Amino acid sequence: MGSRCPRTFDGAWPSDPRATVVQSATIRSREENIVPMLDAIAISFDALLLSGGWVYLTLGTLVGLVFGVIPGLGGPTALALLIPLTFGVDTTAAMFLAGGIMGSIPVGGSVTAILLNTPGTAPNAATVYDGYPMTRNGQAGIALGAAAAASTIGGLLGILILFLILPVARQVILSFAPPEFFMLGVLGLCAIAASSEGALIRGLIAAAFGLMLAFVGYDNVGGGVRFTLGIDYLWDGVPLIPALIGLFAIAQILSLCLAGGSITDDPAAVRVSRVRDGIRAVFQNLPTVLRGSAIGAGIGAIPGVGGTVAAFLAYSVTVQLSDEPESFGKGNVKGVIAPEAANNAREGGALIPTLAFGIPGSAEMAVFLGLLVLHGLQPGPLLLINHLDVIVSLLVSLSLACVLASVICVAVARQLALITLIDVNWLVPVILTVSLVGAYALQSSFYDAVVAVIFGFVGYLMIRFDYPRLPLVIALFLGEVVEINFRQSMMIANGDWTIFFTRGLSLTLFVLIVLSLSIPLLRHVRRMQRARAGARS
Amino acid sequence: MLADRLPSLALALIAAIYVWMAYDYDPASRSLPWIAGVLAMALTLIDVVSRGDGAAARALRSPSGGDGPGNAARRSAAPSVSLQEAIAFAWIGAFLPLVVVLGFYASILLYVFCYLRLYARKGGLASAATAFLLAGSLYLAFEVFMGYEIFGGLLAGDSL
Repeated sequence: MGSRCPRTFDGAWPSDPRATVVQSATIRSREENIVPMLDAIAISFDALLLSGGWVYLTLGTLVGLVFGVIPGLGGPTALALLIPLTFGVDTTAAMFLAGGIMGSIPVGGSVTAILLNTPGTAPNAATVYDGYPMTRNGQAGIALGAAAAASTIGGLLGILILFLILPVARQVILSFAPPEFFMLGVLGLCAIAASSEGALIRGLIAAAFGLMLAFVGYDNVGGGVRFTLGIDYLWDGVPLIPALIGLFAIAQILSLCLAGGSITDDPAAVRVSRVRDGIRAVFQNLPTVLRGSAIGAGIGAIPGVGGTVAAFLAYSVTVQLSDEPESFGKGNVKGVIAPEAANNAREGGALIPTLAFGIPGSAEMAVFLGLLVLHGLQPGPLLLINHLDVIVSLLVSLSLACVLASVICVAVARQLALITLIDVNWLVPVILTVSLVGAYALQSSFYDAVVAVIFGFVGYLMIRFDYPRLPLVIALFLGEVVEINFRQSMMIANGDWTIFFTRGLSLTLFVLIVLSLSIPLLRHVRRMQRARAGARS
Repeated sequence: MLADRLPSLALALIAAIYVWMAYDYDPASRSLPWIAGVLAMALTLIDVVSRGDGAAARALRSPSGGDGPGNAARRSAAPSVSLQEAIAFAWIGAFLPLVVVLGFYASILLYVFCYLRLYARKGGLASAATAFLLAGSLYLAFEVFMGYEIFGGLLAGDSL
């Protein structure tokens, strides 16, 4: 068994040697933060144009489009499958591949939402309301053109917002100490569990079991091993990437295997024309695009809320602000533009907590962090400070992928939609075998493939019994962070737990934790009050 | 009704064993694992209660989104799904023993062909072509382009 990538988090503390970097960085002015950013952009474009980065970007974009088109697969599955294939590939090239996938998945998902009334990914569901009626009205090309242009502009605006926030985020990160990192980890877990599609208790159960799994293996603070059941393989803990491959790729193909058949069986529905009119419509409705993008980036930045909420919120705000709300649901192009802009802009927003704090806000971001770990980059605050060039490469590739995916999507939308005519049974053995070869190849360990299958079964059972998978994955990532920072805090405070409540920032985070857990209860109370009022009237 | 609560009860049991195991370690080392285990036990027990149909269950279910008897009834109305699931699990799980004996490439050839032919009921030629194409693509990607040697199986003399 080879040694596995460590699952540590860069939560630096002044006693840590890395703190030298932190302390020196705090005195940097804003200008000093912008210069490295510009340098990183130059390095990134150099790698893209001169070192073959464009090949990985194009490959990632094509793969992302295909995975986006096929309902039930989506970003986490595409990334989980491709992580092992980046083994031996340069880190920057891997970022181009990942950026290509993440930037193109939402665009691919809109194709089937518009043409076949079947959203490729969950966030594309809002596009169905007006996209499919447009197809039925003979305006499929207009809807696709509008979706592609809105996706491009939304995606670029999301990345622009992220670029503007990153220098500020670097400064914020430097003011954090172990109590804040501990509270931040707990907040990430609670926020994600609380937003688990109305299943707070089961979200919290998944998070608690994720933590329990994260504590398996070597104790980084006190030494010794815990909960390994005498199995040497578990000394390094539960391997993250095989677990991710299982929870997302294998669990998903189990679902496909049981569903059987093809996504659609009506090739006649796939007709495309008048794409230019759709692109023009986007420029005629720029306020809708900007509003959708702002909503997408803002919602995307909140861990656990995700693209579906962003797309539906952008759609409903557009309907509410419209002079002709009755035209929505019958083929209003604004009903395609708003959710598509929001859906793509949220990628930039979701990267803010992922890159700045190491808290993945979505399943896709969780798998992306796995990719960083594989390439020896520790997810967490110092990532932005020590590996800015890699992060900028990701952002550049995300931006370009939005444009590239939209162009390809408009050119080959019909052919892409035909993929949904394929019987999913062809995909099942392909995805299974690629997943398991990939899981094995990570460390040349057959046990990694076994772990992937076990987590595949666990993931499927979680889907079957309505336990959200995301809190489990996030807890697997954050478990060690939470524990290290908790124990460091207790050592600093000589065992006095009030350290978490006497520091302003830490207390603020605690209040946010309480609020995040209260939201489902408040919603319930409001629903009860409304029901009572309805019964009285 | 008991069948519907089984997943939560099983999870509660696992959490209880975990908490019991945590006592083997020193207090500092077990503090957070113990909290996570106890929390998991408490939450799973709340989930068990919320799956009932009494007043307490309804009160718990609404804010927490717990599973109700309606969902349970819908699930139990489709008993054949469990058999299909067991078969799907068996097909997925069958790949690993094959790999142990034959290694990845030979297993992919055999497994993909058998899955498509026997489970998905596809044509023999198409199944064989898919199996060869997939195994060949993976061989090219790993062995030729990346220079990475994949496990060849116990029969070929490789060890696990």
